[in-house]
Amino acid sequence: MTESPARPGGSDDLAQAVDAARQGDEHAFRTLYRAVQPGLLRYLWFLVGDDAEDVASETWLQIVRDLPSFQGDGDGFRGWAATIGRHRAMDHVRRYRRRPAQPVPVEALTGLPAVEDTAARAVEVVATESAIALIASLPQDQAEAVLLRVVLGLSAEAAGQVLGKRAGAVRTATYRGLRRLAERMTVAPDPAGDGEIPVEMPRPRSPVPGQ
Amino acid sequence: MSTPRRHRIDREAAERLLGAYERGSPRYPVRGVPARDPLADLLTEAAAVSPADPAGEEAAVAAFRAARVSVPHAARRRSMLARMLTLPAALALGAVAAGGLALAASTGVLPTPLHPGTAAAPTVNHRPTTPARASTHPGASAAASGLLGLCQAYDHHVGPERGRALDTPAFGDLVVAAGGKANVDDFCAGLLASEDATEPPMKSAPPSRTPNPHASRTPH
Repeated sequence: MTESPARPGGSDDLAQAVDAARQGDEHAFRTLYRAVQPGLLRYLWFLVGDDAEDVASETWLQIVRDLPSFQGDGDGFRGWAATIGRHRAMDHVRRYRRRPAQPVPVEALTGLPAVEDTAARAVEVVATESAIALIASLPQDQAEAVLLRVVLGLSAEAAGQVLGKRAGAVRTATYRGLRRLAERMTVAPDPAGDGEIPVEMPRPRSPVPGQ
Repeated sequence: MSTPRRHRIDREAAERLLGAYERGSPRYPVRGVPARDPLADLLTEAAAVSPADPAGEEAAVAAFRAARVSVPHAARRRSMLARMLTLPAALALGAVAAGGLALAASTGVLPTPLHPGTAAAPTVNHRPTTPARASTHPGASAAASGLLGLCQAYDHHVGPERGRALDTPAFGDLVVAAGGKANVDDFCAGLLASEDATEPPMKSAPPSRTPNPHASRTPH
């Protein structure tokens, strides 16, 4: 497995981008988009499956609309974007009253552009989706807590604000989720003996309205 | 690496591991995560950098531009007002600018379009459909200044709030001046456009923020 390279959008960078974007700086807005969209999309995929791209578009429309009245730093912006995404996802599910198709084949996962895939990139793509799917197989509150903290980089406090929970409850949920994942890692067979653990592709779940 | 090791993870270890992904954390970016740890590898994969999404980015940027273009003028003034003033203060400032404060101080009543405090120009209340005429008298009257402040405050509101705001007593004079709630958007557009002659005229569409294709907004 690979380490991820340094990512753009460390909290200091984003704080400046947030301020500049609020003043109308388009380049700063692009910085925000690039920093937040990948994690947002993965989180939304967990929530609404195939419709993640649509819900992400709706989320950015609202972000753009409400940006002038947003106040906060980079972490605050991430949490705010996740909160909007979550609301849009719940609206989406309520509006269309549908559950994502099951199972979700890897090829159908949204969020990745139709760029020419090198073999290496294709492998990366599958690996990331597999990782998300494995986390998604946890009980919902654990999965959501882990995703918000890992793919969106939120602190336990910020994730708590998205979920309407105290930070302590988030830490408990993430701990339980990680513990369960760790147990699965040991239990999963390793038939090829090469360290690759095959992963089942579970159904993404939709958020329960009211939670 | 043959078989996976038994994994024991306690709360502290979990928090340490998660800390590597927290954007504001000193451990970010993800480098200190132990190698060959299946759980850490899993999380690193979940958080891995993904390819760029140019189509989605351009769509978001287009919305960002549209939100700024539609009310460039009012947005600058609104943000300035929002930082400095509240609504009543804005009205008072409008009155002061036009020299109406003397009247306000003496009678305790702020000049309104119906009760112009100075010998002012056109009472706009009987010309609801031609707001541009008010603007042809550049020596802004107390009435026009007060209305300008109301228009700017009105522009604070978005969506269904705009209609509700017009029902409040604060905006009563604006509604009368515009000749009805339905005319307020056009009336204010004209007033705000004429306020600064160097700006291009505002579009005839009522000022709005981001075009939102999802017309039904769920309150939350």
